[in-house]
Amino acid sequence: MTDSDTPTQTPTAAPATSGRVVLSVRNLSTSFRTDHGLATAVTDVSFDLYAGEALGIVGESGCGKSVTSKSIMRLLPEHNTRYGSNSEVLLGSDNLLKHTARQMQEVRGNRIGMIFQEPMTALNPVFTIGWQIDEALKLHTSLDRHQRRQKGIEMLKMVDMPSAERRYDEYPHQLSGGMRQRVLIAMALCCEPEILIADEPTTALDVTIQAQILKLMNELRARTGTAVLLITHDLGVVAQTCDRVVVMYAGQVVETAGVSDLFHRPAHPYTSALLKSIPQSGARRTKGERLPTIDGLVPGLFEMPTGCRFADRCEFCEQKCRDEQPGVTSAQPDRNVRCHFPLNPDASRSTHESA
Amino acid sequence: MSLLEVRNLEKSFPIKGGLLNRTVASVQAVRDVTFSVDSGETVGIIGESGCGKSTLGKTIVGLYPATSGTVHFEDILTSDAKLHRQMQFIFQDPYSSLNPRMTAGQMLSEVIRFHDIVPPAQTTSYVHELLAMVQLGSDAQYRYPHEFSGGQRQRLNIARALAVKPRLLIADEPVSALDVSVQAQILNLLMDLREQLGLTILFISHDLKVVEHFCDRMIVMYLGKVVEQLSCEDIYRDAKHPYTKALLKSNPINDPDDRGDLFILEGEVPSPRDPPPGCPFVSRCEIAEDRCRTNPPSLVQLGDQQQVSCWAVTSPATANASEG
Ligand SMILES: Nc1ncnc2c1ncn2[C@@H]1O[C@H](COP(=O)(O)OP(=O)(O)OP(=O)(O)O)[C@@H](O)[C@H]1O
Ligand SMILES: Nc1ncnc2c1ncn2[C@@H]1O[C@H](COP(=O)(O)OP(=O)(O)OP(=O)(O)O)[C@@H](O)[C@H]1O
Ligand code: SF4
Ligand code: SF4
Ligand SMILES: [Mg+2]
Ligand SMILES: [Mg+2]
Repeated sequence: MTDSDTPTQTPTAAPATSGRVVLSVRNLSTSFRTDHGLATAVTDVSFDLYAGEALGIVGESGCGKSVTSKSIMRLLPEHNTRYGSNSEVLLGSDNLLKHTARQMQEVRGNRIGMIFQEPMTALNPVFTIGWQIDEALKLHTSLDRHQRRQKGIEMLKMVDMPSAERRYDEYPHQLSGGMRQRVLIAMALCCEPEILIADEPTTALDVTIQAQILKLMNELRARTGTAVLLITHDLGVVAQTCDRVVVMYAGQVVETAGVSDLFHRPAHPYTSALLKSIPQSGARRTKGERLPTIDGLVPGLFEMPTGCRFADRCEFCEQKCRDEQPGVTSAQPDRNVRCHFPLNPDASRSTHESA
Repeated sequence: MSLLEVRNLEKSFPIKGGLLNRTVASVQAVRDVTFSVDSGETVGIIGESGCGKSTLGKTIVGLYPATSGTVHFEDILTSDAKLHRQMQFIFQDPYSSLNPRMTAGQMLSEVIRFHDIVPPAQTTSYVHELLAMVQLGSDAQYRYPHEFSGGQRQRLNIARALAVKPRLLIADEPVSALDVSVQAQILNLLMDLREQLGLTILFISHDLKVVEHFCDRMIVMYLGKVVEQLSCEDIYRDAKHPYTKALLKSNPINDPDDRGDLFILEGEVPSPRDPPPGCPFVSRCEIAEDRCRTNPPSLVQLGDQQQVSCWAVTSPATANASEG
């Protein structure tokens, strides 16, 4: 990466396709064995992550965002998780789904760092912050004890931890939520991974602290070229930080687009309805108006329809939608949609509709 | 006359410790809060996590005894048991606030009988009416809480609060745990009910977009204190307190083409165990002056719609009155 002297400015959507793919998720399907049979939480999910970009994954609760990220990291319970036979998670030429537990340990932390949804549960309450960072460094570096302490404090400083030396020896409960999240970011970045997966990194935080964390992630991305996969259901966060966005619904990717296209020219009826249901602020304030809602419910894991999964809630639904599952169509590279009748005709051309 | 008058309300929680388990300190969760709400108004209470929003709401309805200060509802002190029906509280967590062993119907019937809302023979039909009001089918009465989605559970919470025909509803983050699409449904529902029933609502939230959309007025809290009160009409134009302004600038706008520098409010919130003696915001305020560290500013009325507690706003230093 070339040096940039405007690191605080959020990088605006770059033509990401020109970059190098660092992670490629191909036809990922993830199922769980349950008492009621096999539950498929993620179906045929494909997307690429380019070097240095921030890719958002959005969608309502339960749509499979965390299962997707945990599948990439192989963090799901192995005994009852099944991946599709043609599913691949390619890091370079390696398919992570075929890695042994030992190989995955190399990948986690070294090549892919991860920040979880729950900052409190991701830290062990009985050990100091320093001890936990030390464990991560022991695992992934050959530094001696003294060097590890130096490095650990350096990392806390990198994430703008106030009084880093003192905090290093404190316990998680002595830190605020925002500080805990910084510790996790520091730990995830300790080996300068190529990829950072952040699952709702700011959901538990206040807006002012959220802004601090987002800025920190943007700066680190600009400085180190780490690609970020940002999972969130906050569309404001996506609008302000991501280059491209993957929208999921009921376990499938329904739309992938550059962030500006997605917000201003959504192609999938679900994306469009989702955007309309957010209250607007400032000049566009939706004071006292009824908000457009998406009536009905997401189909359960055991009652997925044969046709389009959004059909019951879609205002544009036609017979074809009930009969036939829409395939993924794409007019431009990096813009695709899973819908028989996309809203924005330019966004999609039916390429493999009959396939 | 206002429906609700909160005067100099304080609530602190003792912290026990040491060998004898004596009170060693206290968490000053709500500090000297004064405001009033007119009948039919919807007032938002906004502020960071831990600033005392829930504690304020619970102290107002009498779920916590006040440490000092008063709350009047139509000139009656709210510690009076007669008022319990008039004011209802919807809890922050839609999951833990419902009894898992009672069906929706049993739960509503119990509340209705306890408060003697309708003659016993009409209980069932009133339960149906309530469920219909929050747009749950009447088969919902046979279902247990875990058989509902998050949004449906929140509707059930609303139905339970409305069962006793309250006049004031205090809703503590009623949509924070919900997806945006479900959030929109609940906000619409509350809006309809407000109109049909003439409800007065205190709406606690940390989501500025939601408060702006739903409320007439907002009260901004910081570290247990009210720092600003203003109309929601045009907050970007009207906000004066440095904290309120910081909130507005940290609020991520839903437009990727409108991307400024992310505004960063530096520093951490001080502990409510040991609030600073002067202005509560002083440790994070960019324009703090010496007097802010020692003298707490008081809430000053500006026009008839706004109150601000900030030295720089209410008595600007004459020499450098223009803000950097
Ligand atoms: N270990 C598991 N066994 C069975 N089902 C699971 C398991 N983990 C997740 N699921 C199911 O998979 C679906 C997708 O869950 P996931 O956690 O990915 O949702 P999400 O999009 O991250 O939602 P949220 O926004 O609430 O975090 C859900 O229906 C969930 O109940
Ligand atoms: N029952 C209690 N005992 C002791 N301390 C308490 C109690 N309830 C709240 N507090 C403390 O009082 C302060 C205010 O808490 P409160 O729950 O009112 O904040 P809040 O503004 O509702 O925050 P959030 O947005 O996270 O819900 C916090 O420091 C909290 O830890
Ligand atoms: S395929 Fe049909 S039902 Fe599905 S989203 Fe598109 S228009 Fe709606
Ligand atoms: S009183 Fe002083 S410290 Fe407090 S908000 Fe105003 S200028 Fe800032
Ligand atoms: Mg999740
Ligand atoms: Mg609260």
